[in-house]
Amino acid sequence: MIGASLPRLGAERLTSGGGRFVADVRVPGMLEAAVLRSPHAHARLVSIDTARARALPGVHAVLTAADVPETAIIPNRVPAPEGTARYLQPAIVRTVARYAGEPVALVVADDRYVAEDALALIEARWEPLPACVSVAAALRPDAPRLFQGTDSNNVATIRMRVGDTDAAFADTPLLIRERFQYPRQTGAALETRGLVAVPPDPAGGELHLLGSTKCIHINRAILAPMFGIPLGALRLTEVDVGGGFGVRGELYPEDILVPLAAMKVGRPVRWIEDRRENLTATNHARQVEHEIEIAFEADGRIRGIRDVIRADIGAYVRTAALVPAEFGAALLPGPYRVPNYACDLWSVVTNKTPAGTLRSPGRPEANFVRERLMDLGAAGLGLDPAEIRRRNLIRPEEMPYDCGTLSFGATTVYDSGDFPALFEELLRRLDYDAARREQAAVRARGIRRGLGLAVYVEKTGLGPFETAQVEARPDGRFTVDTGASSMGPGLENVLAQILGDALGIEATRFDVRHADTAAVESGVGTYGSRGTVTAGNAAHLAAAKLVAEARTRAAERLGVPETDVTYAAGVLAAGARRVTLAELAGERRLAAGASFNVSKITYAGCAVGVVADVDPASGFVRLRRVVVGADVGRAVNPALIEGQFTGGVGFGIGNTMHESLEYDESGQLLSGTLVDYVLPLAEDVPPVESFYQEIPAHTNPLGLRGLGECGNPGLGGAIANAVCDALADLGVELTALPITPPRVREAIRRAAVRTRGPS
Amino acid sequence: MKPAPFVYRRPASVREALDLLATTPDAKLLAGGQSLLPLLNLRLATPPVIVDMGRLGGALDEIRADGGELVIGAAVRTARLERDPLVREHAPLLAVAASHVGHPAIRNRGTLGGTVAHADPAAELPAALRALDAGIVVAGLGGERRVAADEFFLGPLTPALGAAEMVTAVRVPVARPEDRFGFAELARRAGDYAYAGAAVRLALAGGVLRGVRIALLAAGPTPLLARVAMAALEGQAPAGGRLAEAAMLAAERDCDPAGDLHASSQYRREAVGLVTRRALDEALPGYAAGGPS
Repeated sequence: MIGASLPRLGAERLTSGGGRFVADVRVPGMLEAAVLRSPHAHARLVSIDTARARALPGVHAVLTAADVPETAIIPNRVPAPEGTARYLQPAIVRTVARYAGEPVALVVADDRYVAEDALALIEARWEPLPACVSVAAALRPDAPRLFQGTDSNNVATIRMRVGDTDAAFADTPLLIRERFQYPRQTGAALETRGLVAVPPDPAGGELHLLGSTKCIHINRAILAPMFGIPLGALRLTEVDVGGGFGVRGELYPEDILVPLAAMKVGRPVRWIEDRRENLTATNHARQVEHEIEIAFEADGRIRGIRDVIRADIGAYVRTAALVPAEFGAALLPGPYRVPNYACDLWSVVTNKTPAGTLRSPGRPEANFVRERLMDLGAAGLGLDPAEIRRRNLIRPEEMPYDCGTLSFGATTVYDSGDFPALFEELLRRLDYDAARREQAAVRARGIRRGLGLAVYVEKTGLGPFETAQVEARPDGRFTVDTGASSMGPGLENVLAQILGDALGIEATRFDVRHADTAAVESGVGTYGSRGTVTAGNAAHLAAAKLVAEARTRAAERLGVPETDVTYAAGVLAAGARRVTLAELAGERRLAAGASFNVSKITYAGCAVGVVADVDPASGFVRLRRVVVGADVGRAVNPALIEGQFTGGVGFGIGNTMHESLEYDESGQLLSGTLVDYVLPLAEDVPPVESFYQEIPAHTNPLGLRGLGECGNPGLGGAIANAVCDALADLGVELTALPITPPRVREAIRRAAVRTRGPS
Repeated sequence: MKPAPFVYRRPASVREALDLLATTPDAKLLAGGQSLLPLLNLRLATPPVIVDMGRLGGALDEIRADGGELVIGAAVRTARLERDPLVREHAPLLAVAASHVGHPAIRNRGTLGGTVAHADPAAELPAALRALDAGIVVAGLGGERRVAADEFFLGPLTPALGAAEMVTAVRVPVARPEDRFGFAELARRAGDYAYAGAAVRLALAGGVLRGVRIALLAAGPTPLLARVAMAALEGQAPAGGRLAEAAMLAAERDCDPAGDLHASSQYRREAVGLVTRRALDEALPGYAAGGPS
């Protein structure tokens, strides 16, 4: 059962319109909310008058800072450096707005139309303050401080030191120094965020929030004290989710304001984020600048890397604190032996939407930078890009391999894997040598074709733990609950197949439910490619407990010693006498739960190759092939793996070719609609050829590695390499994404100036 | 993203619609809604009254040949322009330009009159109409008047329309056997606003080019005529070098595109050269305007 490409459980329901997304949730008496957002990037709120808005027929309440407890502050839920707490975000603007889009008031009305009419009637008086819209602006000595009582807009400098870079850089045969920029991006899922808050019944009951996802137990633990209620009086329920991508399900101001509004009016309140809000209010991510240098031996081996990374984290430290860029910095050495590494990571606040995690946080940026440097090193030494990678990949006999960096408070130790074999398999599938010959052949016909490679390491199965419960039912089916959330990639199948494998029962008999704090008291959630690794192993452990419990009860019922009872395929037998799990469940509850504790992060080697044609006249890039692979440890469902790769590649192509959140000088978001925040279309994604390696991980009983973030984070480096390869004779260097036609043309013009001198 | 309140009217005749426009200041006509509805939802437009053209029917939905002209009703949808046999026969440039408009769902709703009256300089059909030297039929309470496409587009989103006027039809000269057409645009993704586009109409008779018209989209405040490039080709034989030179003139002399979020002014100017070359290539296959691209 593990290893079978079983069809998606629940797919019929979703594809036939039976899904229940948060906007489908209807509760009697439900009202609708809309949020008034700061029009300024940085301004003092002088006064706010809601009288006219409250007087509008159909308006039930207007919440302002006065209605929100002072303790309502978005906390960071991960470790963070000293002093970070000074940069946290209150759920609502109290005195100063620090980004355009920050919540100032919330209107509850009969419907969204009236609520939006009322927003226009709220009179807020603002005193604009000078805004810092870039890291450079925020770090100027005379820059306005975003937060009083801080001495810098740099929240912290995280330093990583491995070996001795000074020695490594002295007399190095080849030194490459470059600046790279990675743009600001977001998840932009098909379904925007949303929440339905149902206040407790006056006769007693719980405050019920529907539409939460990702990490509902963590969010419950944050919210309950804020609302002044016990944990058990707050219930969070996940419904169907139309895309998570790391941004959705983190704790946002609306997750505090909407429930407060529901309790204030004593009626259910629904808030559905619209697209314009989605692009200004949901976490941004990624934006970093690297000032980096790399030293090579004459044979292409890396001597060392020195890097200063400046991350533009937006106006506040949010739930994931400084971790996204820290993940990237810690994994910058990637799959290569980098004996000497020094990195200073700055996390700088600016007057823009705050940043958080986004599918593979930190890694697409680091991979783009490192993989460009590998190609530059190859060019500088006259090596083939494949060969320079071969010479640097960590070998299987060097495992476990400690990169020497720390992130999230943990070391970066690759437990196992065979990066060279993975890379050779990529080259074999690309038919690399033939592709090089074809490149030369088509060049003779005037077609500029480029090949681009990227090898990288993903971190998966993040901690701290996960839970799973399985209950046998008298009808012969099983109910499965977990703290992990189901955001679309197929968690239901993974758990059903792992349980089915453990219990010898077909996967279709397991009903895996969406996460609900009412069903699972303790859980963590889905992020960091962790669902399969953590919930999967928890389910595996739970199955063993269920069989043990059933064996004890069967022995009692059959009147034999436990050791005489055998278990197979849902049946407990002692000689000719038998009893089924369903029969035992009919007697009294038969259930077992288990928790899998993550002692170590599971790393996965990944590699991607791209073939692209570039039209130098227009700057257009056409991707012809994408081949991608990763070490999955053990494949639970190959069809799901292929799906994850295909979706991941599309995601990575969008990140590489199109997506950039741009601001004007006053801090207004220019890419505020999907006309201007450009996402990939189907036509942008060539057929994706994917493969996987199965080298069991030593970090968990099933040997699994996560996959959710393996498909996307190599594309930036690989595509940039392919484009530069196609234009190599022109001396074109790409140091920033996205690779739009105008950017390619600009790079060609810059290269011409560099090689010919200014005209 | 919900519109502000408005009064919705759905008149049954052009006369009734014009009366409504005349009596309600700031009333807005709704045709296919592909530009107006997003503006309403973003509350960038907050008209007190919406006058829906959906029931006007009749001549507004017709396509007919009238002497040397093809008359196309304002309510004809973009998707129909792509496929209609009369349009394909008599105004093939319009059919091709229509196929470049947005996505199928947009073409199924958007109308010819709507895009003409919206006067977006990046729109395909207005540029094609300028290349075709079309006439825009405008109805007001005092009757109908005809405005040349060359006179109609005054500025960005600014048509030569009075407050109580509406576009009822477009009149396009029917294609003659010697006429040649070309249309090209450069867009990041299919259906996106183009970096630049060009529509070409010309006649090839006796080995020389006559009646050359090149209209550019997304190259300035209105759909533009590339007059310098046109003059460089008029009366000339379509030799390869000449076409390439004309394309260069269109980029260098005929436009001054503004840069924006998606492309610099310089890139847009380069794009004008590329699309002009490609459109000329398409109009004159085999004359090799500029080598491989």
